[in-house]
Formats: sequence, structure tokens, C-alpha cells
Amino acid sequence: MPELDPFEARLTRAVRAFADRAETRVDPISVADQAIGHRRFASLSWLGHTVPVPVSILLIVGLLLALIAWSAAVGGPWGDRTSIAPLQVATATPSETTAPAPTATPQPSTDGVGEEQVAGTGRFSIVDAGTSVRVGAVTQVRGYVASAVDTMNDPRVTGTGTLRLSIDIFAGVGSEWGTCRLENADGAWEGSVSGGSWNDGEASAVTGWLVGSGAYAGWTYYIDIRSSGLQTELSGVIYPGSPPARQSPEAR
Amino acid sequence: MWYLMRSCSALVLVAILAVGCAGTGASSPAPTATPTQAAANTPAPTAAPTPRPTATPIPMTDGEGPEYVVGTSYLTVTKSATETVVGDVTQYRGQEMTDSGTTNDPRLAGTTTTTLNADFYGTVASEWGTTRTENAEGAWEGAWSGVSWDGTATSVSGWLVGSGAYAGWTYYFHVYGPWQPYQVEGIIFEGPPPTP
Repeated sequence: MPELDPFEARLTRAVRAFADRAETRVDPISVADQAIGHRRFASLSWLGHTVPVPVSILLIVGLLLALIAWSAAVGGPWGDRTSIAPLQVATATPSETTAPAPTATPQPSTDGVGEEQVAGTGRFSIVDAGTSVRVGAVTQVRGYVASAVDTMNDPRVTGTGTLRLSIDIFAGVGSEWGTCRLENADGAWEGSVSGGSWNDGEASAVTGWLVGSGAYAGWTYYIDIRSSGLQTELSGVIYPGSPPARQSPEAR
Repeated sequence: MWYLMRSCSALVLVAILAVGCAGTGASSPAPTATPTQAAANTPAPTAAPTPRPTATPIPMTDGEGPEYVVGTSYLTVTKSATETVVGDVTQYRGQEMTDSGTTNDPRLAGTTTTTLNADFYGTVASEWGTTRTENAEGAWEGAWSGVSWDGTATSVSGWLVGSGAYAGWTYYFHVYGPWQPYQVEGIIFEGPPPTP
């Protein structure tokens, strides 16, 4: 290095001497530990076995599952509930207490012959809401007509029908009476019904004695119609005979 | 905000549960209703007890004005019916019963007696009779009718007219259920029973 002056030559020697004293051996295990140390997975022991899954991932999965389960059971935001669990309804006043509705259970079909206890559902549609007249404390509804499609577990009482009612409403409850006719291709059932309604007409219980004609001549169908909201449950009995000689007021 | 707070609460709860499980690995406490081993080894009874409807507290009404009422009916025979077979029909006549059920309206409290007649057609029957309920204030009396089947199930309804302090009032009731105690629902209103 003829071109270097004496200072530069000394500097070069000093740098090389410093570099020669430096530690140049490398411990690869140590370096690897330092490199991945903060990303090392903690192990989880479960029933004596090591689970090769990061604890953090397990915790996140656990949190998500618990949150989903909690939301399904309790619901989402109060105003946007998505839970399928039944809500506990608080009773506003004793007079609005609702009796527990019978649980709908699958009803096996009958053989359609002989006396039977029958059950099913009805779909009612208002044909004519009738007229309403206020007489003192009573609201009198007259000429109420509803059509019905009854789906029962016995073909003899499955069909379409018409329900004609008069209703007297007394501060949230009402007395109801009228006639019911149910028919299908083989015959018809017709007679009087009566009952009560409550919760401002949202629920009702109406029963009646229907006499058969056509293929059902000589038979009687006692019908029990229980409604709560949009759900209407029908039940009753069919037997080869007449309605009772002594009846409740619907027969008067 | 409520949703956020509830989510945070859930996260805290889950974290606590996770820590608890990781620390102990213990199983959940056994439900108190779980049969004991000794009970499980006991031979099952030949006749399983009949499940009964769960009784739930029903708020009482104020006993004034029109009301929707609910309750139970439990009948006890005090006089057996006479039994006559006419063709395929078995006729029961003149059975008398008392009803120890209750409702949620004080106007219907008291002693209830019921008469029952029935025509049996195989496993089903048409039924009719009268009912009278009386207490210190007055009484309710009238006719009812309905059906029964399978020996225990029933659906009947009736219109009872009030007297005494209940004069001018009517009680409509519907009694139904697969077995005793039966469910009762009805209405009380000021006016006569309906007339066609």
C-alpha cells in the first residue's frame, strides 16, 4: 500500500488488530433461542398428555365458544333478541294471568272408525268482524264469522268449517256463543258452541256439541277449541250417540 | 352499551373459568338430581309413578269486577253412580262428588259439590251434571257438560249463575286435563249466561 501515508497505515493495523480480538464463534442454539423465544408455545397438560396447541389459541377459542353459548342462552342486545330460548313473561296484573297452555304433542292418527278421542289444530280466518255496539259497560259484538281449516288426527273431523259467534265483552273478558259447522267430502258436523275469552280476546276456550250428518249421521262430535294468540288447538271426542239430554246453556 | 358490558362480563367470566379449569382439571359438580349409585342399583318399580303437572304460583285476583280465573279441580266421589247397560252404552247416573281444587279468585272459594251423569261408548263418554259452589258471601250454581276418555282425561265446561253477593254475575268455567288435578280456566262477568 505505497499510496497510504503512515497514519493511514497505523489505522489499518489498529482496526485489524481490534477485529482479530473480537469473538467470532457462534452458538446456533443460543441464537435460535433468542430468535424464537418470544414466540415459543406454552404447553398445556390435559389428563397427563401434552397438548401441542398454543394456550393463547385455546383461550381465544374457549372465549369465542363461551360467548356464542352465552348469547344463544341469554340473547343479544335487549332490543334485538335472537335467542330461541323462551322468555319469562312477567304478569302485569293478576287479571291478565294466562293459564299454562298444554304442550303440543304429536298425536297418532286414529283408524277413523268407531268412537275416538281426537286432537289437532285449526286455522281460523275472519270472514266478517261483525258489528260492535256499546251498551252500558258491555260491548256487544254480533255477526262475527270466521272460516276454519281443521287438521285433525281423524279424517272424519278434518275439513273446513264456519264459526259464527256473538260476543259480549266485559272489561277484558268476554262471553261467546254461536254455531259451528265443519264439513268434508263424506259429511258434516253442526251444532252450538259457547265459551269465554280473556286478555282482550287474545285467548279463549270454546266448547260445543256438533251433530253429524251424511256419513256421520247418528254420531256426535264434542269439540274443544282453545286459542292463545295465533295458536289454536282442537280436541274432542267422537261417539255413536246423541249429545247429552241435559246440557250447559249452549243448548238452550 | 349494554351489549358491550355484557360481552366484557362474559369474557371475564370465561377467563376465570378457563383459569379454574387449567388449574384443577376437575369435573363439574354433579347435578343434585342425579340418582345415586345405590338408587341406580335398586330394581325399578313395576308401575312408574304418574307424572303430575308442575304447580306454579298463581297471583290472586282482587276479587272484584270481571276477571279471568285459573285454578285446579280435584274431585272426590261421595256417592257412587248407578250403572245400567243399554245396548252398547253403559249409563252412569247420579254420582256425587266434592271438589277440593282452588282458583285464584276469592269469590270462587268455598265448598263445591258436583253431580255427574255419563254415557260410556267404549273408552269415551259424554258427561253432564250440575255444580254448586258456595261460601259465606254467596253461591254459584248451574249446569255443565263435556266428555271424558281413557278413564281419566276430561274436557267439560259450564255456566254458573251467582246468588247472594254474586247475584247478577256469571262464572263460566272450562275444566280439562289428562288426569287429576285438572286445569281450570274461566271468566267471571256481570251479566247473565249467553242465550242463543
